[in-house]
Amino acid sequence: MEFLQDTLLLSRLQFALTAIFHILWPLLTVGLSIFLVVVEILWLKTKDRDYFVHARFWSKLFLLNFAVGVVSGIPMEFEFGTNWAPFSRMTGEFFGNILGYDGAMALMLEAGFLGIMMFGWNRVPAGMHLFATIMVALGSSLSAFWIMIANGWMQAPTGGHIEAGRYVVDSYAEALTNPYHYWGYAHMWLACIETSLLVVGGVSAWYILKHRHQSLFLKSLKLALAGLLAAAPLQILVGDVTGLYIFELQPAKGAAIEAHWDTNPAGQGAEWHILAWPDKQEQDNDWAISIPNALSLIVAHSLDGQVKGLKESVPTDQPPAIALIFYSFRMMFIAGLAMAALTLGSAYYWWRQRQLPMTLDLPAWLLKTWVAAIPLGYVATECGWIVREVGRQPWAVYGLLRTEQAASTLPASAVATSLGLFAVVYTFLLASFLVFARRIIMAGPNVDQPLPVFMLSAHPEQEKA
Amino acid sequence: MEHQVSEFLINAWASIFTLMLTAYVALDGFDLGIGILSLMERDSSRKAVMMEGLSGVWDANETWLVLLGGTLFGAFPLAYAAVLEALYAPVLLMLFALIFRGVAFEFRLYARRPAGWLLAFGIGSLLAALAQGFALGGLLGGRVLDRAGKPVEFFDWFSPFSVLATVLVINLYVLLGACYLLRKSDGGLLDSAHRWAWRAVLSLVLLLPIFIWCSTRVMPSVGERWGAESSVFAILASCLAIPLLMLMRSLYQRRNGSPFFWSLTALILAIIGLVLSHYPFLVPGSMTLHSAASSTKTLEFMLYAVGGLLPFILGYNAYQYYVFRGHLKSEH
Repeated sequence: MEFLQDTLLLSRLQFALTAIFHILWPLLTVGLSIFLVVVEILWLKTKDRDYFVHARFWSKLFLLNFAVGVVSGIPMEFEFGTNWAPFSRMTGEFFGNILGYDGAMALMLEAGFLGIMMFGWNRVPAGMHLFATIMVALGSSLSAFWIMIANGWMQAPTGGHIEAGRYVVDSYAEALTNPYHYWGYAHMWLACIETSLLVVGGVSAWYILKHRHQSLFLKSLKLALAGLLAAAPLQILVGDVTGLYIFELQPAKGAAIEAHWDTNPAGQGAEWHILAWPDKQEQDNDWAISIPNALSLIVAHSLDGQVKGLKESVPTDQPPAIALIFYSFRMMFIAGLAMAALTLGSAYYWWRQRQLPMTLDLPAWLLKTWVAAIPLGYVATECGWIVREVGRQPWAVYGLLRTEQAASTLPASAVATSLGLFAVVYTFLLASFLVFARRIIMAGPNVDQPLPVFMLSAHPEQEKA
Repeated sequence: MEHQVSEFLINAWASIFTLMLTAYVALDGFDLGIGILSLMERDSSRKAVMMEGLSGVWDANETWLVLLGGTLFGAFPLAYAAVLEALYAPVLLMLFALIFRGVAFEFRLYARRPAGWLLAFGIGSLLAALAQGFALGGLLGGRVLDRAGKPVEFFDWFSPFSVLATVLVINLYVLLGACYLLRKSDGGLLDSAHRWAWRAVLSLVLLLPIFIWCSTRVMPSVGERWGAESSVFAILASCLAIPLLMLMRSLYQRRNGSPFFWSLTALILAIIGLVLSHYPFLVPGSMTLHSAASSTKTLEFMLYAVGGLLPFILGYNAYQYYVFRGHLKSEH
């Protein structure tokens, strides 16, 4: 058990664990909060009671998910200080500043209106309730934005320099307008939307398969499908642009994604490995199935464009676990394609039935595919983050601060204890969440949910009915 | 000129930080206090009312902690690093306690045995207050040193003084919680709250002078400051005595709306006293505001957004309390 003596490794494992766990929850918070805004607007506009039932039903899942997101997010904010004190000393000027922005601009907004959105139905007028729902959605999307700025800066720090061991910002404009951050944010935001819509669509498909509230859940399935029809193809595009930035800003990460060791000589195209087994010791692939010239075509958009290989960096500057990066990327890519395929396949049936606007009669196998696709967004996002974060190594802040220099000098036993506790507690939280979410779904929506007071007084005829 | 600007900014940030700290201690204080009191309440339906009365606001209250962390990290990064590194054990204990306490609000609704989550809410609240007390004690006792690059003395924060600070913090939160319940409850819960508020205020009045005396012992600079400015100290001490006396008077007269106001007034004065005791130190005995701060440019940039948003934050938080005015009831 050598690793129990290694504070650096333990702190890294703890950060990886807490981050991998935490990111699960904002995915649904960001996307589902926007979905809740949409159904509330639809309800207020069409007066169709079904949308109110949707707003109440999905907000139960939303709040359950939100609670775990909040309590697993607070440790992230404090771990930078506890386990990564040298990192905090060096980066506080920018990184801490952005976390302050996140708290003041986004998290507070979200939290300040959450109570009204969830429990204020009979306490505020319709417009105020909608405003609260919009503020929760805005707050969570803004929070994702600032986190992507902060993390993007760790990938590609611009607009400052190191002075006496601390990062000093020369130009906030330059630091904040790095286009890479915006593509990264778009990629993550779309991932939140896709993941949430797959959850909404998959759960709705399950109810339709079980012949429960079919007309009600047909509406949410259609909404999910319409949203995914825009988001899934767009995500492939945004992902492509983000990928190209990686080759430009973090060539070693780009090369690791493709297990590309040697820079291709001028006039000769780089081959793209469909599958390979990279071996860092040997500085080569043990085996590979490749398409000639394809990597040059993907990255440089020409048959023999130059793509820098991993060997441009000395082994100590190369990311570790290249196979992990290589296969995580492929998993994410396949998941993204699968989402697009599911969306387009379902849209095809929808289009064929366009003469019958009130129904969407998907075959059972397709509905089952929707149910099976519920975890797809989560898998893709986790894989994407593994590529992003493992690929950034050996740097904590790319090119400026090595991870090994960033960790607090804590007793290893202390970090081993907290790591063990996080593992146990988070497993328990995840299991409990799944059990309770299942109970919410099995119980189903409360279709007799009384309308809020503001709706009754505005429409006395409904009160009689 | 440059230097003046940065002094102004540092003091502005120190004020903002103090304001945020006050908001956090006041709001999460009563929130955690109610959690601790739920351990003492025997009646399970009253326990449930205590907890569910917080469902609409606990998250906003706890977010002040996140804001506090982000502000410290951005404006005073060296203190953020030094304090959190040195207080690893209490901080992690607080985080785990807050995890159980937070999810309990939702998990209780769907669990087969909701009583278990009520207990998790109570114990989580108690442990979070305990951890914050140890952190405060370690900090005020001068046990947090800037250990940049040097190994952390892992249990340095633990001392008789930090035990005293822990008792004080728990006592304070219980008082805030009981006073909040007095405002917001009726029936049997109101009677319990009245009893708890009396006990809490009496023990606080006993503890506070002991704590102040011990503070001057463990941190001689505090004693020297007040020795030199004894008239200011006398004024401040009597200012602090007034709301505490008024609190007891309103409890005696059973004016249930007022104790919470007086407990908040006492808290604000106590925090002002605390800040004046240690200024210009941010980490007592080790790091001044000036030596911990970010550059002028960063402080200025942060001030526009975080400082500018603060009135709005206070505004919509107040609005949320206005929406949920009236007596506590289950919101589900």
